[in-house]
Amino acid sequence: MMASMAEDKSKQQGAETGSEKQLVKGTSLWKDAWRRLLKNRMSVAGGIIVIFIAIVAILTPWIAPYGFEDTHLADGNLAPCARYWLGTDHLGRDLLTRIMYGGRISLMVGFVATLVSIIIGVTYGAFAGFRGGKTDNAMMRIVDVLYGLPYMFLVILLMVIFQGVPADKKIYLLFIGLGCVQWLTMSRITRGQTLSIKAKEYIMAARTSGAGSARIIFKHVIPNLLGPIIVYATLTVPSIMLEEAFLSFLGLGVQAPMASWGSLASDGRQSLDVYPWQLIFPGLALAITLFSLNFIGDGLRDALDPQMKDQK
Amino acid sequence: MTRYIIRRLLGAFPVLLVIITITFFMMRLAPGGPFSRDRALPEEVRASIEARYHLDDPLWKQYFNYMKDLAHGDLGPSFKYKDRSVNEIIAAGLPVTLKLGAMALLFALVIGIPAGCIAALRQNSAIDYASMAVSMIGVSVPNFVVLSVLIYIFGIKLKVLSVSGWGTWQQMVNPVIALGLMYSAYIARLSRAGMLEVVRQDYIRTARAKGLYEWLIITRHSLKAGLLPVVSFLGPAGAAIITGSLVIETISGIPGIGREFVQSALNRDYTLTMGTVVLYSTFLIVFNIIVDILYAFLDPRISYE
Repeated sequence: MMASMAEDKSKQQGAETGSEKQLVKGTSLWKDAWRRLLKNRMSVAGGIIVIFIAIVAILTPWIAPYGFEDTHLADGNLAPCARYWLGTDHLGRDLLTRIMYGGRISLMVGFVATLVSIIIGVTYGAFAGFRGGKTDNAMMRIVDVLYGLPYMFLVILLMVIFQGVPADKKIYLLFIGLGCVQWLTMSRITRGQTLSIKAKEYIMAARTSGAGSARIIFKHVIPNLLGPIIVYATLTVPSIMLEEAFLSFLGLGVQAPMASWGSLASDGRQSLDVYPWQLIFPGLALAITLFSLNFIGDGLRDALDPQMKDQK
Repeated sequence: MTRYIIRRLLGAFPVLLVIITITFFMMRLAPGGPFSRDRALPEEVRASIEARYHLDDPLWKQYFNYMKDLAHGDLGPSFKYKDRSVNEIIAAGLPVTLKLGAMALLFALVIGIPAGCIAALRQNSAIDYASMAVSMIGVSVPNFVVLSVLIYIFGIKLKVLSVSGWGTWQQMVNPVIALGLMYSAYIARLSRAGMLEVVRQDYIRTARAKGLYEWLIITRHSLKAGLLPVVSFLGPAGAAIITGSLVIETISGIPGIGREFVQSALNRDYTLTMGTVVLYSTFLIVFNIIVDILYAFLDPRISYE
């Protein structure tokens, strides 16, 4: 739908400018969207920040000033200074290092859990949309019913049940649990898109020219699904990171020896009145990352669907 | 309309049943029971405690008994607070949590709707961009960070507000703002979007052409339609505020049931956990039904038969 619209538009442009100008080069949906995205300065700024944070997170083991667990007991609770750019915690561990390592975990949870929610949600929604009719109705009623419930309670219970599990295995639980919280909206979006795509003329055209279901799905349905899915995925990552921070803050998410921004903030809260930076810096890191991700998501949404630009 | 309400209420029961059942079995799955944290008990003492609370019955029998009691409105005794029943604990904590949540939601609406409307009416102006940027920040900062910062600035440094507790207004300001801020940001964005869509409509253009006062145009003609997205957001917002209250109550030492839920889950206090989950779920389901009905009232295009 959007692909053919963009092509029409460019052909129109070619006709309007007449024969004096050369024909406008054909453009595709993605190129159009990319151009629009680049024009949105806040999104670009957000994108740059996120890419920077991601690079720092990936390179952390090599560029962190200290080791993750290096304690310098004599240097406990120092304010930011030349040696420890963001100060130290009560055990003398460099806060900048811990925030860098914490970022790795927070980002990882965000992306992997988003992936889980995409896999569940897209499969469910695409199936419902494609089948249509009663199956679709039933499946979406289930989603409607599940929508109003507080999942975090079940996730909390889940984390409580598996409290005895060692910390590094527990993170898989977070991936799955948090992914299960978010899949509902993903499935709704997917199903809506699938339904509208199914009704398009090019699908009927493909069928009448003999394309089988598989080919239709892969060549027509999925590429048009990708747009909203990408947008929503970009907006899901910050939601999940927020939820993980929430859980870690309650002591139920990431736990020692691993750290995430949420657990670092929780640690920092203990000494808020005397050493506020121990909470503020992890909180700031989280806020900046979420902020940037939200901006990119918004920008992507505006870029991929220009009619929706003013209907956030 | 009444039939719709009845249908929704009836449909809520199976959902509640599923939630209760899932929670019940999840709690029992957790290693350790309510009494395994205490100092090691001699075998006979432990056996008699378990017999008293029927913990030695087969699991399905415990489930059955629980459901039977539940039907009578009895949520059972608390395992951890041995002299109080779950009903009592909930009765003490529920009003506090409800008040906190309601005030947070009110805060979100009172701040968010005007902000969004102003942004919509002055679209693409400095105010618009500024308020949308601020709301983006509001959406991105976790509520416990907001709370901690507020406590630090107003409670510790400036000493104008209390650091924790509940009761006086000095104690209530920080938690309410922290809990509501994120949703005020969402609501601002939603009302802006909704108002933008309405303000473009032809009937608004006609009203302006007729020379109607701007204020009247906004309130009488645009608000109802423009705020529909906000109304449908109220459902998920309620759920989110309830979830958020868990952390806020824990940090601020507010004696509500959110704090009880977390503690009871960690303590393996089966009955109290179940009780709070039942309560929250019931509340949310009813709240969602009310929101749906409200939406139907406001949007004349929708009719529920």
